[in-house]
Amino acid sequence: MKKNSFHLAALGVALLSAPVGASAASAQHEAVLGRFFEQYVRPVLARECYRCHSEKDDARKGGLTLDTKAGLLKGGDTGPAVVPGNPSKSLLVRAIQYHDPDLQMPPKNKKLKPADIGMLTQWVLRGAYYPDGGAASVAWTYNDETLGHWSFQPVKKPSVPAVIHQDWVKTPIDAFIAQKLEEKDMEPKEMADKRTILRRLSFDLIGLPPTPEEIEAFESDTSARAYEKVVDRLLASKHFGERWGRHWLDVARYADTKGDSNRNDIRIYPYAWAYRDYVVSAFNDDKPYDQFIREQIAADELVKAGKAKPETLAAMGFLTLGNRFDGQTEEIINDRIDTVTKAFQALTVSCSRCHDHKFDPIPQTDYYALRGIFTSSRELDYDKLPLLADTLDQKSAQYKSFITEYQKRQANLDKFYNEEVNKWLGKMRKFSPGILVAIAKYPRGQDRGQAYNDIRTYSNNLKKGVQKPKRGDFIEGREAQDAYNHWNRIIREGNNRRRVGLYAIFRPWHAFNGAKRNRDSSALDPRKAATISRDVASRKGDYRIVNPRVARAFRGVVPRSMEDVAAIYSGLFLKAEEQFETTQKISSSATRARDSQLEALRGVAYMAGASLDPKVAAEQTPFDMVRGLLTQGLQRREVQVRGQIAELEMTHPGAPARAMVMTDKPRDQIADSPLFVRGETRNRGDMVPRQYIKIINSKRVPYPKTDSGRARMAMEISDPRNPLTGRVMVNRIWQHLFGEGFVPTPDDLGLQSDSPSHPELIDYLAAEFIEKGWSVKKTIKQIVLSSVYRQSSDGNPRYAQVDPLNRLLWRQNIRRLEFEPLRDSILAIGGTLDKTVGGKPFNLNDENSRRRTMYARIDRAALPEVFNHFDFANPDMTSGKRFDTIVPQQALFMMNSPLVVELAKTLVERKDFQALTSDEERINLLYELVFQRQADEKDIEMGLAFIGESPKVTIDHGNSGSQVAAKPAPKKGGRGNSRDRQRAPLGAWEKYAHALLQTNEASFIN
Amino acid sequence: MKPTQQHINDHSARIEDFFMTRRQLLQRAGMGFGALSLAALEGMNFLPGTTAHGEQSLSPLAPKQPHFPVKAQRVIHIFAQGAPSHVDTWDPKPILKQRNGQSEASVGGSDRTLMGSPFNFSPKGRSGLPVCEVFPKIGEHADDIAVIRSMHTNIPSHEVATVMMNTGSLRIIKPSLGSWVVYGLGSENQNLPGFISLRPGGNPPGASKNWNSAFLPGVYSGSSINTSLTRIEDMIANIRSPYTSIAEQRRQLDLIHKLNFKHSQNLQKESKLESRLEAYEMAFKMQTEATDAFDISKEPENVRARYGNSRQGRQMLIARRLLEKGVRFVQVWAGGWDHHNNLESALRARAGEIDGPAGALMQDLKDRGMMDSTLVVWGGEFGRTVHSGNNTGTQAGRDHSSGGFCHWLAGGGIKGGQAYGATDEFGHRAVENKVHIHDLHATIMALLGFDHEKLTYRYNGRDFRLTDNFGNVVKDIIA
Repeated sequence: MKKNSFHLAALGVALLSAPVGASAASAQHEAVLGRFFEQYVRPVLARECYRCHSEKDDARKGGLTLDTKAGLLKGGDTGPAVVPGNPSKSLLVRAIQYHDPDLQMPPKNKKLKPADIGMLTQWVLRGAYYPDGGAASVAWTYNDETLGHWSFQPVKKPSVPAVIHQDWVKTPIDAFIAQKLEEKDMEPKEMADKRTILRRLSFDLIGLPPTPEEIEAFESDTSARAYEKVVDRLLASKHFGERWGRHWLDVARYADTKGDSNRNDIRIYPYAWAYRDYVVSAFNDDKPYDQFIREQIAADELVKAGKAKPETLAAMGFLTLGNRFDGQTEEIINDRIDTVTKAFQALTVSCSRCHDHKFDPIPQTDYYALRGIFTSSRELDYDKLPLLADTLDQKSAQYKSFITEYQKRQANLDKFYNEEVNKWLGKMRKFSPGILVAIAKYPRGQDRGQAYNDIRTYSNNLKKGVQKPKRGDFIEGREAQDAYNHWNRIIREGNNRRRVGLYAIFRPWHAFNGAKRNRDSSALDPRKAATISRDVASRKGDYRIVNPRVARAFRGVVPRSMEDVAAIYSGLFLKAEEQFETTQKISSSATRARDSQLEALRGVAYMAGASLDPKVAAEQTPFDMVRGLLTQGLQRREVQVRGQIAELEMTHPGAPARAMVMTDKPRDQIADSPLFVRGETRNRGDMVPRQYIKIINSKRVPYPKTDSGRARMAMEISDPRNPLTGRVMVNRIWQHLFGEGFVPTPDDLGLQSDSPSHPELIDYLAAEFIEKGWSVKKTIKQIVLSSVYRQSSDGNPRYAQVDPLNRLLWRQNIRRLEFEPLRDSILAIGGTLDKTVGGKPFNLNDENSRRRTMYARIDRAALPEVFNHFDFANPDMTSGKRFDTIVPQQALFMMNSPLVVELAKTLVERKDFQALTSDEERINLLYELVFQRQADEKDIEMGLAFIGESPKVTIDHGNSGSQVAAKPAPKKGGRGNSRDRQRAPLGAWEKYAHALLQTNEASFIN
Repeated sequence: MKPTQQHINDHSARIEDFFMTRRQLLQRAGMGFGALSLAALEGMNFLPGTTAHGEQSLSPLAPKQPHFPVKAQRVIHIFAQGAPSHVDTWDPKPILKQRNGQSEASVGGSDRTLMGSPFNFSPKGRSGLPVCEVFPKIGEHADDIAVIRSMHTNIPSHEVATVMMNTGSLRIIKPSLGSWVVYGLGSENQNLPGFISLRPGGNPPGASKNWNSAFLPGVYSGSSINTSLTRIEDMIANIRSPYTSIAEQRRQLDLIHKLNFKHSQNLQKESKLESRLEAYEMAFKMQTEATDAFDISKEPENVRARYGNSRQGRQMLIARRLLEKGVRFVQVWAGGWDHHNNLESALRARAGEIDGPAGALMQDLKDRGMMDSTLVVWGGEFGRTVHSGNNTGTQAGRDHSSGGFCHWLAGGGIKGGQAYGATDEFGHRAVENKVHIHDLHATIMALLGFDHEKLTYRYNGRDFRLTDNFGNVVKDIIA
């Protein structure tokens, strides 16, 4: 034992000698025990024991499980595994010591290492602390040390340091930068030249290159404020919101489709773009960031309180536009918790869904405190979503054309319900004799196949009696199973007293079913059956609620078997159907049978499918009620027909949008969430009060019982005292202007992240950001005016050795353009960019579209391949930073895709290009357009050589290397995918322009 | 070895090791920009694939050294999606035949009817491994095959289980097995994607989740290719220019390189620029290489005949060409095994589709001396019940069951001619030497030279790995 104690001390866990087993162990102490357990005990148990003794893996050799505290104390067949505090009485300790030849674990001579035996023994001696995963436990990572992490401390504005390179310092930011450089004996870099800076600034602020005129204006403006004027112009540009809005959409995991949508659900979000446009406007209007946060989480409350305009409701797409995970509620909630906490706090709270966070002070209860907020909120059906007035122009011709088409598609849907759905329901009633009898005849599950066969046979016999049987009028193949399930479900639901109408019809059925001789047969006990028949017919006692028509049918009849019962029932259903058909013959507009009792029999499918929750039922359409009773084919067809309406709403230029809101549930449904032990929904732990995460809300102020708490959560996030919110956002902004944030992981500022490159500067900027009213534009302006932003990106071999990652910013970074500015810049320099801001998404594969790339439709389930190749943000999760890979597929796209080549051609088609007369001038113009600079001598030389060596193209114009006339564009349209068709070969200048677009100079910002 | 070098080699991953600015890699590798650009400009043959000459390659797809000696260099995963019935394929249960038609209750199960396999099994090869009559061609390789009869998984629902088999994850979208393999090993051929997933038509359940790279960079994502298409430009986007001839493209490319060289001179050291230059050369070569890889008309008539002129035959032949060209991980979708009804005829037909092509593949790999270094894996996402579900008579089939099913592995590093693990007497569930999907994944990683616990990727502040917190290597099937 002594030796083992030594081990413990040597490993630096001497803290453990505090009294153990005391019930009032402090959180701090518990945290230490927890850490000891996780570090030294659990790994051994997991490695050596769980394979045979784990509840989770269903391994219970000797009845013993060791992966829960309960399992440990309960022990196995031979008694408790552990007696806390008493190793010699603990079977586990004895087993691992290998002293007893009959009790040796792990078995087969795989004795543990002495150190491990020592650890386990110590652990038992000191009380065998075992985190129970229950709500009461405090995360072992929740302690003073983790809470001391820099990003959890209040933001304090540091004073601006004094530095040697005062001449370089243009703004306080530069002083912080220079200070770090000076510490490493590095000189700050000189400014980049004007053209380089303008190009950098233009791409960074609006995602587009400067025009030749803009360059000219900047170059000739020698005033002191020349640069600042350009900054102001770009910040005021309507394209600013497009560039920075797209950055935010990466964080908001924005997409226009649901990804994995429930099979009963349409797969697109027809109004997602309203959220996208809201984001663009928010950045253009420089909406204060705290307000931006509150609107995205709780615009519903703000609008209700008159603190925001109704259009603001579109902001809530932030919560509602995630992947739908096949309709799995828990996954949807997880996605929302994940997005909120990563986007605003750069914390990975979703890691705490199954257990306390492994690194950050985020107990599992945090996750479930937030879960309660989301389960107390709800979404609305599409047609109940609030219409966004600013997207609606009722007088426009486009709106009228939309409405016409909309009504047409709505009529299709009605027709589908009225004809196809009703036809199926009618068929089920018509064939009820065959189906009900088959259900009654084969009560044993394994005989289902026989039942299906009988149903088919019944239908075939009917078919024989028909002269010209119509397809679909009978039950064939797989449909027998659907028919069986249809009626079986109705009958089963008919045994539920709460379904009053249905119960009135099927009460006798189930009474007879209870009088069967035995479970597996359909024969009835004659005496019991006689009593039931008599009582039903007279509606005596319990049976007084029975539908009179049903009661009358059993008058003087004693069924001998369930088949007889089924025959009586189906007689009633047929009669109801016949009467309805007669009524219809008299009056074709009749919708129900004359006799209300019979009509009730016709409606059993609706009764069986209606929700038992009256509030839900009140909102159900007739189709919602019977959906589950239809064939899968019909269910799919309904989604398809409904999807055509949604598709129209998403694509028609006259279609208004709706706000994808979330609202609170009614007051009586506001509720806290239980903790799910190990994240398993069936494994419920204690209730967790709705609250915000403990790091921020450490006082645990309870949330109101009257609303979901979303608005409160939004307030806590946007509180100026929240230490994370400001830092997270300025880190994101910095990253977009330098390629790398102070912390390189923008969505995680927790304990696992690298420490910030400039801790004082991030705090300075965060403090300023909050002080100046959370203005994103002011923060950006402050940064781009600095010397560090404007410095050159030229290399320095010595500095590269000292600081290879350029964390100290001894130069500006060279950055590859993301896909959006890359494509947009080609459109812009070809002069064909469609500058419309906002609106419905377009199809990226449409090579005729000239819209900015950020408006392309983002289909989660089928992301345009080029997005993948160019590291587009993953739309399934918050992606504050894109990957920056360089792969051949990008080159293939640039080389071969008509999307690029057709745009390259537009350069040569420009009027100003066509008007030029010398090759030098042509080369020069292309350089101005593509690189925003003059071509030098060498450039001209290479260009002339390329043009001169171009083979003569005899097809049309190209008989001379310097011929510039553009060919007519190939005819568009026709069948199939036009991208694959062979195109007319390019002329020399088109090839040259295409080559220039593919150069590094065109693809990078430096 | 310098600590940073250590990071590159042992994959104790830090995000910046792999993506980003290749500048860091260059510096860590002790290579300057100048040498590279000269190589690139002279002869254009500096490609990451050509590391045989000892150059440190910088592409994220460049071949890398794993932890242990390698038993298999490449993988072909034939995915029998739909959940093949284990007792009708690789786990014979004579007792089911004897008790055919009896209630399962008699053996402590549900009240469903036990169903014997309609097929016969007989011992094959020197090992005498029992092989079902529906697999005559695969059976010829019985001595190479290790059948795992004790597979089990979590949820017997197709989509969830299919994605689980490919990613080891039920809930979170995680990188697929192929992505992890290429992340760990790189690929031998830089002119083709390292992970290719071949499907004979539409998307399988779970679609791209089965081959996506999730939080790993997109370069490790599987390229999914619909092999029912016939034209290469339909299979791979932008693989050909509809405008420009190869010769003219070469001329364009030379101009681009010259302009890039001039551009980079002003900027001095910047490796990002350099990788883009490489990517262009790679793309240029890929145009011909990929076209060639998918063109099975280049195979001799007798080889094509052996694979058969069927969808699976053609697809398997493409797969072999890809393996031969150095693609690291090829996935072949050969699904349709969801036999709730008509099991006898439907399973026979389904097996018939894959038996010839898979047998031909193994023969071909042997003929080419590639069998020892190629891991062949066949299996589905879960197993089926031993009772006949809701259908009886000639329409009988089996329902879903996650408790027990089979996989077989052959080739690189596999101790063939054996059946490992066992289900219970009737085949309900695995009982002996149980192998979970995580264990299978761990084993495949081990065969490729990896400690599955050490191949990790830092994401969201956590080191993720393919096998989550699980996985035991099945050592007994490794030669």
